[in-house]
Amino acid sequence: MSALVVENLQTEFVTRAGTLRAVDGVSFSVEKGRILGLVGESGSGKSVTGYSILGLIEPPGRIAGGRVLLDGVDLIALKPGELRRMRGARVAMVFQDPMMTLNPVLTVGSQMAMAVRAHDKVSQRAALARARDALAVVGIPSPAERLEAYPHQLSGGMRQRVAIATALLHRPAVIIADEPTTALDVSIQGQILAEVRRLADETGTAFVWITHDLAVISSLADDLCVMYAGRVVERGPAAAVIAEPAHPYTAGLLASVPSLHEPGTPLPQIPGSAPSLGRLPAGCRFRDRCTRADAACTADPPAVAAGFDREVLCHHPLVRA
Amino acid sequence: MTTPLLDLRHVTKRFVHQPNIGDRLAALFGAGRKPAVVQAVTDVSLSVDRGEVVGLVGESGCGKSTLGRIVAGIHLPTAGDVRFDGTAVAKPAGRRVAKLTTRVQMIHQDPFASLNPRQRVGDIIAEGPVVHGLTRKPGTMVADLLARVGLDPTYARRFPHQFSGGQRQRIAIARALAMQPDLLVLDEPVASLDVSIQAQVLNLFMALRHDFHLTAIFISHDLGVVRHVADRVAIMYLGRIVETAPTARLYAGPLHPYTRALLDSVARIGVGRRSFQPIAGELPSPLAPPAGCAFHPRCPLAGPRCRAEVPALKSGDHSGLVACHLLDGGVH
Ligand SMILES: Nc1ncnc2c1ncn2[C@@H]1O[C@H](COP(=O)(O)OP(=O)(O)OP(=O)(O)O)[C@@H](O)[C@H]1O
Ligand SMILES: Nc1ncnc2c1ncn2[C@@H]1O[C@H](COP(=O)(O)OP(=O)(O)OP(=O)(O)O)[C@@H](O)[C@H]1O
Ligand code: SF4
Ligand code: SF4
Ligand SMILES: [Mg+2]
Ligand SMILES: [Mg+2]
Repeated sequence: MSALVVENLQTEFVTRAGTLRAVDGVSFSVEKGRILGLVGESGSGKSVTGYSILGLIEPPGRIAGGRVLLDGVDLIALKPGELRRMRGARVAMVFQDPMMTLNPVLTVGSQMAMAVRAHDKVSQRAALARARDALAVVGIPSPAERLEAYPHQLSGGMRQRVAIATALLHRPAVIIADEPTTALDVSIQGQILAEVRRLADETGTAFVWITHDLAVISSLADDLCVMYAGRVVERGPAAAVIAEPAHPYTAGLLASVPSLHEPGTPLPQIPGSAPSLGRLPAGCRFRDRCTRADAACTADPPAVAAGFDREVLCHHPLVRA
Repeated sequence: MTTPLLDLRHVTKRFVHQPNIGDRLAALFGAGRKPAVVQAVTDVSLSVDRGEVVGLVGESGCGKSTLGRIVAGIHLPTAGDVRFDGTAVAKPAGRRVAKLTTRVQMIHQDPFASLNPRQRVGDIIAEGPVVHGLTRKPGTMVADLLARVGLDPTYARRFPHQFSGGQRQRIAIARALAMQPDLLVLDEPVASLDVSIQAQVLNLFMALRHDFHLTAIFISHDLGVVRHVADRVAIMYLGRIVETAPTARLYAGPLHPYTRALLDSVARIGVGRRSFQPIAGELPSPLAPPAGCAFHPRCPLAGPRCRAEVPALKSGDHSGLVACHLLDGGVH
């Protein structure tokens, strides 16, 4: 069953340069207990998609269209108070910088207990017990002692675990994680990815895992959405997309990863750089950089089936169903 | 035997840690603490031959940048010496030879912070060579270099903010090359760049390496990137080099338990969904390094000797060096 369905999401920002549509028709769904990787380069709209799902877009930004369905309820249509009740309880977010969630002047225990009691009427003692259990679930050693600690007394990796544990307190159906391990060391990143995989499998929580790191996503995710300039250009099971990318952009990204090539050899590279939102080419947004581009690509590309549960936004995909 | 271009001998760097606000407050209330000393680099010996690219790998805070800065003459070592082309250039007590700063150039991680936003690109590139009298025709030199790093020569009149991250990193490379360095220190040159742009900059580095016969130290935490560009790799852990070997040999058969664990714990592409084998435990603080082998609290193979004695770098059977008691008499 789908834990989260995003349909034709559109988010825009009003700027002096005009209205910029940072997210332009994004659709995907995540099943219970599965991890969806949202990948793409800087500025492609990953974070804005995440914020839009949680209703965290602030003026001059606005959601211009689409639906975000959680348990069949459209979050975009909710009143602010109703949305606040869902946020934290049914859907939660983990940020790249855990200090976005953590309060530096409160102990881990007191802020986690507050988070528990924001949604559930339980005693402080029961709330602390839940906080302690959540810390244990994300693999924090001696969790009871950590409740007494202030965030600055913890390492970066520990803080991120606390942020994930806080997100887990109400057993939300969905956790949106925005580059949660990007700032961490490989050995610590490996620990957290292993915990997240286990959490998804054991608790049934669905994750939307936002990252620009293809290696991380290929090791972690069940499904993949590749974003380019505000659009999802390719979507499908992670293993299939990585083994046989259908969109020329996905193929280019994967081909440029050094570890797939003989050391010292020139790497296939995508020419140029991503267009800014104010100056998008008409039709396919990737066409200035695409080796397969032709006259047809000046028209908006169609969504084409590219295999079992796979879709690609391209006139000339590398794979067709 | 030919003299290596760079020869570091028993180099150590200590910093007296600036207390943060919390510590200062604590001191006010009488909880006086001695100023903490960070041992950023400890007893590092490393040589780099002419034309060689050495990759320096390790996790955050292990001392990669500090070592790079010592090589570039930005920091003086606290102990040990740095020899360049056979001559000692930086001794802890002595004075640095000024010439070194032009022979070694450093490229920093953040292409946004390392270029002066108020200077035109042409001036950024020409400034060093003009000051040091290395060029008579700065305009031509700038145009040639811009073309060489794949940028339009007319960009010389623009300012850094008009460029993307990858383009700025190219400008930083052009600026370093303008000094005709014998040795380049690249500190995480692609870490802040998007994947598609990373490949462009790595290709540029590999091409320039051959054209200019560059010798380089390439610092990175990305094992895949280092494997691609380095001839030899040195692995650092908490201030020390724990293993070094020719790249292919190191990746094919790492000997140090930390290197092995590191290679096992990285996410890799193309192997599908997998169960990670993460290294247990936290990175220890350089303010309080564990006694003996610094890796012992996290090492599955540690024994009593590891807690007491620092392992020395000894020859390994991968034509490199490794510092682990297991390979040198055992852990008991
Ligand atoms: N508050 C805002 N006002 C105007 N434009 C914005 C705002 N927030 C985001 N944008 C624009 O929306 C686009 C998408 O940004 P977003 O932060 O989602 O990218 P991202 O894919 O998360 O990139 P990164 O990998 O760098 O985090 C960018 O072009 C960005 O400049
Ligand atoms: N100028 C300084 N003053 C005090 N401490 C310093 C200074 N420079 C570095 N250090 C400390 O020395 C240690 C090594 O730092 P260094 O920057 O060399 O690590 P690194 O391996 O480059 O890490 P990263 O991957 O995070 O860049 C760290 O504990 C750091 O806090
Ligand atoms: S639509 Fe055309 S330009 Fe766009 S990715 Fe497909 S082939 Fe390339
Ligand atoms: S010296 Fe001991 S603790 Fe250190 S890596 Fe070798 S076995 Fe492990
Ligand atoms: Mg983002
Ligand atoms: Mg560094």
